[in-house]
Amino acid sequence: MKSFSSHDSIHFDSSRTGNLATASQSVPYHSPYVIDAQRLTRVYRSPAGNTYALRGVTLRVKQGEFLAIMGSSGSGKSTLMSILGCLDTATSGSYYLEGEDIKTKTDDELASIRATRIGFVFQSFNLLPRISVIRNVMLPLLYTACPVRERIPRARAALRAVSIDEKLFDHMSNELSGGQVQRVAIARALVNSPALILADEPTGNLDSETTDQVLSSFESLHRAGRTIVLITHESDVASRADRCVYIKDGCLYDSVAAMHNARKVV
Amino acid sequence: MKFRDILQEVQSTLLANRMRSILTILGIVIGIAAVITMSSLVSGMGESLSKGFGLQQSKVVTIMAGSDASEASYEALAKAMPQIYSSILIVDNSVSSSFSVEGNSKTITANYIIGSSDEYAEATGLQCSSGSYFTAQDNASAHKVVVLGDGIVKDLYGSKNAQVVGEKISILGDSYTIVGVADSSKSGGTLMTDTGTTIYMPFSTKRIRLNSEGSIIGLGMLKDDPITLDLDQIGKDTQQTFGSILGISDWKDAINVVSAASMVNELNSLVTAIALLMTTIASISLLVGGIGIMNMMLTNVTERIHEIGLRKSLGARSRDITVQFLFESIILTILGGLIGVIFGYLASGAMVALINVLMNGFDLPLSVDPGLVLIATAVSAAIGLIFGYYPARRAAKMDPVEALRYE
Repeated sequence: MKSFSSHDSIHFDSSRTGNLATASQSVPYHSPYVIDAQRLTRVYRSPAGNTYALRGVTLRVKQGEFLAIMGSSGSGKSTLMSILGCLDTATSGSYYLEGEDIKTKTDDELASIRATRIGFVFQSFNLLPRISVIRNVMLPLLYTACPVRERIPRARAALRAVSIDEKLFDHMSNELSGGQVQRVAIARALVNSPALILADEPTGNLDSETTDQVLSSFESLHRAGRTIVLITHESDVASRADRCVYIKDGCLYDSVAAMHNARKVV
Repeated sequence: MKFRDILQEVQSTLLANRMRSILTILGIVIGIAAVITMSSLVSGMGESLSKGFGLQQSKVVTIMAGSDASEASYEALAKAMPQIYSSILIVDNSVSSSFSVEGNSKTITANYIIGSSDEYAEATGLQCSSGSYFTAQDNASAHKVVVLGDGIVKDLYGSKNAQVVGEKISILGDSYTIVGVADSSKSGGTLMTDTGTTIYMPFSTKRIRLNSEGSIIGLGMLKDDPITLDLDQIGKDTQQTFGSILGISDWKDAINVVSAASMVNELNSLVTAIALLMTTIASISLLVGGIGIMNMMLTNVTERIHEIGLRKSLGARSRDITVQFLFESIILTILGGLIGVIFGYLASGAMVALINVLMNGFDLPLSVDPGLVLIATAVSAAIGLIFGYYPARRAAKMDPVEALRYE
C-alpha cells in the first residue's frame, strides 16, 4: 500500500487546490472542531407513532481526528451520519461544521457544502456502472466550480492516492474487485479535498484482506491530516481509529461501560 | 453542471439503454414522419389541382350569362368597365354533344372543343409545343384550322411529340388543318377544360362550321394585379353591369362571375383545411409518443433512485437533477424528430412515386417544405419538455437519505 505523506505531489494540500479547497476555508473558522454537534435530536413522525432515531446526541470531532462510531443496526448511527453529512436535518439541537451553523443553510447551500467539504464513502460503494472509474471519481467535480481542464488531473491524483493502478482508470467499475471498487469510492470522496470524510460501514461488504487494504487507505489519509468519521458495527474496524464512541438507541456514549451504564457523552 | 457535462451524462444514459431509447422514440418518429408525409401529399395535391385546372392565370375572370349573352353584349360590358378589364375575350366552349374526330386513320371522341379569339392563348398562358395558335385573320374568316391538345395528338398519332402541324383531321366530316399543338404541361385554358384533351378553333369557325349555338362565355382580363383588388366586389359589379346591359333583373342568379384568383384562394383554403385536418390526425400519434416518453422517464427515475440519492450526496442541487433528466427527455425527442423528418421525406417521395404509377399519367409533384425540419425539431423538443418535466421534478424532489436506502 502506498504510504501517503503531507509532501506528496497530489494536490490535496489546500494551498495547491485553488477554488475547490479554499471554498472550505472561505468562511472564518475559529473553532478547533470540524464537527460541533450539540444535543441533536431526530424524530420521525408518522401516523403510526413517532420514532426517536437520535436523542440529544452531542459530538465534537477535532480537525485531523479519526473517529469511529460503533453501533448495531437500528442504533441511529446512519441517521447521525446523514445529519453530519448534511443530507438530513436534525429535529432539534445545533450542528456547526467548521464553525458554520448548518441549520441556517438553504438546500442549495447544503448541496454546495456536500460538494466541497464532505466526502462520502458508502457501504455499497455506489459507483455508477455505466461510466468508467475515472469518470466516477470526477463525478463530484461536476457540481463544483472546478475548471474542466483540472478535472482529470485531480481525479488521477485521487486514484493514485488510494493506490489504484493507472491501467484501471478507464475500466468500468464492474471490472474491478470489491476492494478496488471501495478504494475508487474513497478516491471519489477525496477528489474535492473535503474537510471531512464520512464513511458509512465502508468495509461492510468486504473480506478481511480487502478490509485491511481499505482501512490502510483511511489510515494513510488520516496521517496526511484528513478528518475522518467512520461508522461501523465491527470492533476490529473501530479499533483502527484514534477514538471510538458508541451509539445505542439514539444516544451516544464514550465507552462500552458508559453505554451499559446508560451515561451520555459529554 | 456545465452544458457539456449534461450532454455527456445524457449520452452515457441513452447508450446504456439503447433498445429502450429506440422503442421510446418510435412514437415520435412515426408521428413526425406522418405529419410530414401528410402535409407534403396535401400540398402536392393542391399544386397539382391548381395547375390542372389552369388556375395559374389569376388575372382571368370568367363571366357566364347563359344564352342571353352575345359578342356584342360582351363588347358593351368591356366598354362599360374599362377601369376593371383591359379586354373581354369571348369563348364558345359549349358542349351539346361529343364530336367524332378522325385523323391518321384513327377515330376518337372529343368532348371539348373551344372556339375562341386569337388572343385567348396569350391571355390564358396557353403555350404550343409545336406550331402556333391561330390568328385574328383565321377568326375573321372562320378558317378551318385547329390547335390540338397534346393528349389528343397522342391518341391519334401515338405520341405527344408527333410532328402534326400541317396535318389534316376531320370533324363531323369536315377537314381541318392542324396549326399547333397545345402543351398541357404548361397549362393554359380556363376552369372548364383540361388542355391536353381539348381542341381549340377560331370562335367564328365553331359558330359557323360546327353550327354551335351554345352559350358564349366572356373571359375578362383584369387590368391590375388581383392581389390588390376586391374580387368579390368586382364580381358583384360585373354581375350588376352585365345584368343592366342584358336587361336581366335577377342578375345575381342569372349571371355567374368566377375569378380564377378567388378560385385559387378558395382552393388554397380548402387545401389548408385538409392539411390541417390531416396534420391534426397525424399529431395524435405525437401525443401518444409524448406519453410514451413520460412513461419511460418515470421508469428511468424509479430505476435510478439510488443514483439520484448518490448525486445529491455528492453535491447535486435539485435543479441539477431536474435539468439532467429534462435534457434526457428533450434530447431523446429531438433525436426522434430528426429521424422522423428523414423518414417523412422518404415516405413522401415513395408515396408520390406510387400514386403517379398507380394513377397512370398523373403528375403529383413532391412538395416538401424545408422549413418543416425546424418545425419538427421545435415540436419534438416541446414534447420532450412537456412530457419530461413531471418525471424530472419527481426525481429532483427525492429525499437523498431515502433514495440512498432504496433497494
